[in-house]
Amino acid sequence: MRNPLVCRKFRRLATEARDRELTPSEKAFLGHHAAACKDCEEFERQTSASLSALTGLAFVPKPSAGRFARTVLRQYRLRSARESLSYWSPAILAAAVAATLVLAALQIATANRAADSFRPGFSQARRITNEPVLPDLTPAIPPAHPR
Amino acid sequence: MFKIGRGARSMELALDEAHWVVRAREGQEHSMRLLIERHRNRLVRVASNILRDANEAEDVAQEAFLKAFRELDRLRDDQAFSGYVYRICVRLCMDRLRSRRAEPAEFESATADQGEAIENRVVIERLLDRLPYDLRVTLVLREVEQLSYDEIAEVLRVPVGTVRSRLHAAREKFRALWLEAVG
Repeated sequence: MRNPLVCRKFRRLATEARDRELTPSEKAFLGHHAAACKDCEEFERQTSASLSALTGLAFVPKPSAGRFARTVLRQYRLRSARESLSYWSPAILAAAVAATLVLAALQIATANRAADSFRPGFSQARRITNEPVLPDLTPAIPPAHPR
Repeated sequence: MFKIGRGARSMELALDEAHWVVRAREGQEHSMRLLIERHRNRLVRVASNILRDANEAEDVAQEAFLKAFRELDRLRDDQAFSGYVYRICVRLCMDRLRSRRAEPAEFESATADQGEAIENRVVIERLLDRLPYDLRVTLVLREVEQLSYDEIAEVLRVPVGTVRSRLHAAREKFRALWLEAVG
């Protein structure tokens, strides 16, 4: 019995049987058609065999060693640190530049002050020149006349 | 999806997990460790089945946890961590498969005298490698991981109809390839 439409229906149902419970009438259809159509029977056998081979080779993971969790957590810490560093790096850079500028300014100011202390400044010179000249208040003693 | 089960016990587990998720979001490593211990096997298993490489699967599972923890703020339902991390893992596997496409597959490990089991495994790996990666992932999630259509649709973020058609195509192609391989 080769009817392409019926064979297509058989193949669709044969595949769906792996995913859902077929109705009694669908099961009956599959049984009848498989008995009558050798190609479809072969199709079902091949599909079943190939997929069983796949399912039978499922991996079974080895029991978890603590190493797995340790590796994940180490990576997590590492990436978090790296991320937070890259997040803060512009701010850190700006702070470093600002600190350098402040230090440089302080250094310059200190150096100027030190230089001033060794050089007689304008104000100091004026203080000297403007030193009040006090009047000489010592009474004039007339010279003793020789007798 | 991917609720741990039914009944009071599963509810208790789900609540525990939600609690751990809240703590993990705050950066508490102990809670992260508990989440890893609970989901590690499932992630390594699905990654191994998709990638067919235990070492690579372990890497992908670790990467999935890392990504999940770092993007934990995106998770709205704290009880849905299981599906969340699973989805990340499957998507990372798909990325690996996509990047692997360009490289020729190597099967030097398979020799005639290494026993039937290894030979079968290598044949299956070779066949899976010849499937397009979206068909491959759909097939593995259904046949090996035994996920429902709805669950596969949610993991892959595609409509259920797409899952159905991909699965049909994947089974057909896999059968044809298998026939070709075993004669």
